[in-house]
Amino acid sequence: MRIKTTLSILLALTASHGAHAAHLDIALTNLTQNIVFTPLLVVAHDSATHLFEVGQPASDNVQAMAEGGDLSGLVAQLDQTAAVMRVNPAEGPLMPAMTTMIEAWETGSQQYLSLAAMLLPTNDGFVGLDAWMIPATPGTYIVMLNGYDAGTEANDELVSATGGMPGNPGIPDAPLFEHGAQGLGVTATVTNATVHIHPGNLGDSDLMGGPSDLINNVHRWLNPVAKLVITVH
Amino acid sequence: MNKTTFLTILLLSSLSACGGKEKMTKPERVFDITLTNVTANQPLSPAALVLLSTADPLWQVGMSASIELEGLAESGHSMGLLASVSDPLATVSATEVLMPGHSQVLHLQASHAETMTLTVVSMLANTNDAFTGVTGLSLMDMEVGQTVRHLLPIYDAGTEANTEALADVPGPAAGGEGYNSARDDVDYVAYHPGVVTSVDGLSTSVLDGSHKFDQGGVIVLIERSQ
Repeated sequence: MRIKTTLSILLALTASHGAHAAHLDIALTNLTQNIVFTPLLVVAHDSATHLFEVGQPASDNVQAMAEGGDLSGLVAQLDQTAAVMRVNPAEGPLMPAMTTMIEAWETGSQQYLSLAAMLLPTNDGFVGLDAWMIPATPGTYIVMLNGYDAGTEANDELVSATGGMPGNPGIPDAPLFEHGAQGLGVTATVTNATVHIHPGNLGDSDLMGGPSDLINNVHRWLNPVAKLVITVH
Repeated sequence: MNKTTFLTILLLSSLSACGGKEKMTKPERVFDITLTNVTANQPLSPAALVLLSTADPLWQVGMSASIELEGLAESGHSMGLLASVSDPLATVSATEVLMPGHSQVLHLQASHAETMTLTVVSMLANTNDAFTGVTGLSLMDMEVGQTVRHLLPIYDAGTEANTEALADVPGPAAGGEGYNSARDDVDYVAYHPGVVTSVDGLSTSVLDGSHKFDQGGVIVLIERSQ
């Protein structure tokens, strides 16, 4: 084949990938010892979209996720857009110290990555990533994620079966470990009604009273709560 | 030079590298490793350092700790872990505890290998089973004179419940027991949730506020000097 023809074919191939269609492998590890992540939402989207923004009030859909692990509002919201989603990749909660993978994910021309899941047991805590720009250069990238407080519910640290509904106080569940009961409540006040870095659970060492239903040497964490490894092909 | 001469020289040099009469020694790489204890009041047990010719980690978040790692995490003793590694390229153990705010320099030397990964590990003495370190860190691409620096996380070995009690904490805060073969915690390695201490409501705790830490136990500065 003549050189001139070969070059023009090469150029044509490059041009069709100019909008850099990304193909990703993702591994998310729950780094905590005793905090469960409820089913995850992972989404690739455009520059105008944010699931949440630190320092801004959480939307109703983020509140539903952070207080009860309910993704339906966020999914319905994103379904109206060109965003590409992976909903519940771990097929259930992501247990402490476990890793979930998303493989060969075609994110098309969506250039930003976000994710969210509730931290359990918390009142309205969640692990999140807000609009991380997906690199054009192939390679492996590591992002460490913090625990956020949605700012929508007071951190009373009381376990209540109806606690997951937005507007209801309480933590819907504290799975895995024995937790306290009959706590008096750590606080009834929301001091920061925007999304902020979660100050952490306090817990106490009293299973039948005290301020908290959580256990202080079981239900705490130190950031980062998650490690995200993104391989761009 | 022409093609034939070049190929001849290549051939001759590869022949002599295969043995012949002279022994060809592989070049040695030397790494100077400075550890700095960046905790407020957690002495670090004498660190164990290993260079491996595989990428296999000595621990993994989510996996049960080996008996040797349990021994180190609960007692600060590293001999078991160092002895358990098969065919390391090199190992070194610090001879002293590393106090908060202090630094120590250790050296590792190894022949060139296809893969070269570093493990550094040490116990936080005033805890039940907390350790800080890194494993599977590749040094292969380091050039002579290059330095890399990392703040290393603090892990919980998951082998001993975090009672923070006088009887269970070996460090100077308590002088209690180190290694106990019974595993009474979650039995997987994870990032440490932090110590609660007596001032924050853990009634069994012998620790005070000075013993608290955030993620980040030791800074490791690696220089390839040769």
